[in-house]
Amino acid sequence: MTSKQFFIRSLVFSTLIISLICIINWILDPFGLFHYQDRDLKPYSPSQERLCKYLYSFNYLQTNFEGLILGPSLSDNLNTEILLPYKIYNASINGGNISESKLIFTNILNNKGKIKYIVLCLDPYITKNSGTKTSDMQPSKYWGALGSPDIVKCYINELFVRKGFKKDYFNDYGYYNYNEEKAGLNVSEIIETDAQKTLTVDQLQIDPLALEDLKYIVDKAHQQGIKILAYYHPVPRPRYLKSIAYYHKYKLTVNSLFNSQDNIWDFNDEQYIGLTSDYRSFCDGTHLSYDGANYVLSEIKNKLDINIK
Amino acid sequence: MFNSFWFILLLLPVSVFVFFRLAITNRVAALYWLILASLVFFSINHFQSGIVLVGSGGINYFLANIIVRTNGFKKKAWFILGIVFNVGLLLYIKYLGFLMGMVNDIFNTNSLWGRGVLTVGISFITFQQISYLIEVYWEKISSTDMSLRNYAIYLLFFPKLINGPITRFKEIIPQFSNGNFKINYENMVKGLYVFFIGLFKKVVIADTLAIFVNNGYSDPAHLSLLEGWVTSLAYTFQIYFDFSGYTDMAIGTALMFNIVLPFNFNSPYRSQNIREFWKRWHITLTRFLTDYIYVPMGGSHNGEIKTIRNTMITFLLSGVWHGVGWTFIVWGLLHGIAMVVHRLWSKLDIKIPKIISWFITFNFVNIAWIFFRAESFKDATGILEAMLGMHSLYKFEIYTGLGRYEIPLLVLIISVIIFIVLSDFNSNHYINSINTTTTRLLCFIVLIVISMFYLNYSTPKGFIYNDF
Repeated sequence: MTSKQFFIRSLVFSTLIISLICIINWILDPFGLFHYQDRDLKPYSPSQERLCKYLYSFNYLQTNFEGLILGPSLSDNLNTEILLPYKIYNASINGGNISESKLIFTNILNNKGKIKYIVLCLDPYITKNSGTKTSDMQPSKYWGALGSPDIVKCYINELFVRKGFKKDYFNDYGYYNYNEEKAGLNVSEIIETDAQKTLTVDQLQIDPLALEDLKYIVDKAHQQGIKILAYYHPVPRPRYLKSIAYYHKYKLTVNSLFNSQDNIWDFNDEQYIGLTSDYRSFCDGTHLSYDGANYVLSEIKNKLDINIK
Repeated sequence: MFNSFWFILLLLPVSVFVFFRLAITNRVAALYWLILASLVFFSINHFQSGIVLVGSGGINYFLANIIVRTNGFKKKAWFILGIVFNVGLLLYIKYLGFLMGMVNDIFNTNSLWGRGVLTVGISFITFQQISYLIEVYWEKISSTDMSLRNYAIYLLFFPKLINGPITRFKEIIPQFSNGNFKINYENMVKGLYVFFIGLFKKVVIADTLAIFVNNGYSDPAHLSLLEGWVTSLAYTFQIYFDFSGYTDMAIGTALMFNIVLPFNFNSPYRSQNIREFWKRWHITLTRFLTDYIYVPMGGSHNGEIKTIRNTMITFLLSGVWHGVGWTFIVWGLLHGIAMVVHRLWSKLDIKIPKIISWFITFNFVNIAWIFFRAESFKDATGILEAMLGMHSLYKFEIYTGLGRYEIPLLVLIISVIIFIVLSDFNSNHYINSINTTTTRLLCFIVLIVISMFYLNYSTPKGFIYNDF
């Protein structure tokens, strides 16, 4: 063919193929961005949790849920489906910090979001550092949903899960079931070994920018009339007692960001000693077991009954 | 930037279309359109840089016109003033912050003077302007060619504006003066093909390798032997695909306007010695340094000591030009030393197998790049220690950010790397000849689709040489 034909055909056919792929992705809309309202969406791979939950915050979450849980892996394994009729999405991110929670929260508010309440999981981990940890939570990912390697991975993950080649970790309430991965760990030994260690400088620090981000979430929620429930994540009792002064100091700093309208409670208080002293509440030295998670969820439900209804 | 949707879908097609449309009735209008498009391309995200560009361009044009109209001592004086102005501007914009940092360290002060004034592409723009002044001084450019319009086209032509290739006035302007301003579909095809090869190199290969590089350089003190080598090799190829990818996009874009830019790369990692490497890597920079610094200092014609001196000065300046920091100076000096060693070794006339000479050259270049990339000597030595196995041996964790789905991509990248090292085939081949078969069409369509989807992956990353 002539050069002119080659030139025109290459542009025309590549435009057609790209357009077709975009249209297909727009129709399938795996992140609930463009049109689907009443659907059940979930990540099909832990590696795409950040991307999925971030993209869900553009449209899907505010359309289908009335509340959010925000936090790191510590709250990621809370199955909020059992809190029905409270429709709460667990927007926690494995390895996430408060800056990333803020991104999801503000994205919802900026995209016609009407959230009634948020449940914040408070722990020094969320304010240890600030900023996003990966490139998955960028506005440019929105248009990537029309065609990019991300969406190809999303389809492949879904296919593998549906065919049984990969484990299905998530449900459509954002619950990340990683507990089975930790089966077989000697939890008592881990907790008692951790309790001997002094917290490191890295663990003790509060990133001032992270604290600003937490303050932003709280202030924004107040402005928008969004009810705040916040809890300090339960720490295994021996480890908590070893660093109790630090945890008290942390709590003082963080509590100062809230007001009397907000409902804050600490699972490390004496009234919850049954939870934190029982090693069966944990699946490793830090994260909750199924029993521990159910306890925390029941307490959240109690607080919701008091504060929301 | 070339690797952005607004450039590919808007600026490029609009500028090409309007250029040829105007050229039907008015060539001059087409040229002014090109100047305007170039200013928009440069200034749209860097308005302050645009002001610096226009301002310094105006001053250089004024100086060039004085140089061409004077003789003898006055001519030389104005020429030196022009060089001093350009070098001074480069020093101020690029190095003042670094120099003030040194002053702050020595005198324990805290001056912020010089910070935050960086102008994108300033190094390339400066060299373009210096080249113009030198060519005027050497009377290689006649006064009849020295119109403001010609100078503006030479300086601002957007395909080469930010990262080169560093062109000569007489390479570019005759093409505009005498060239064909009708759409040439063969050039369109070649240009588009080379452009998308460049885009693929950047967004698919270079940006993927960057994951290993960034992970490795974020914590060099704890890298294993395996991680150290993967980090250094990943950067060696990242910088090649990044910069040659940019050059391909520049050459491809220019070709769409029927303008041929000089090559900047010719399979440099196939080089058998360091001299050959600098004939294959950043060719226009080598040409600039050779013609305007090395040769005027005497080159290799005034004895061995002066040749060594001239070589070291040239490469020291190359290091300084590339970046702000002692590591860049070390990188430049390493290459200077290598060139001197090669020169002395060549005199011994000892033949070694090609595979050995390639191995030595490649590994030297690979190690020198460590200083180029590292932000401090501590980081550089951390990588080197890792490569010697002084930390640990087989830990491999620098792939975070990549999942198992990237494995086919990594296999592809490694295959491409092996291919470019083993063969002399590179994108220059497509500029000389291209076939328009159906198979080639299908390959091209796949190349476009993949490149565009990778471009949509995340926020466009700048080119490495944007920082220089």
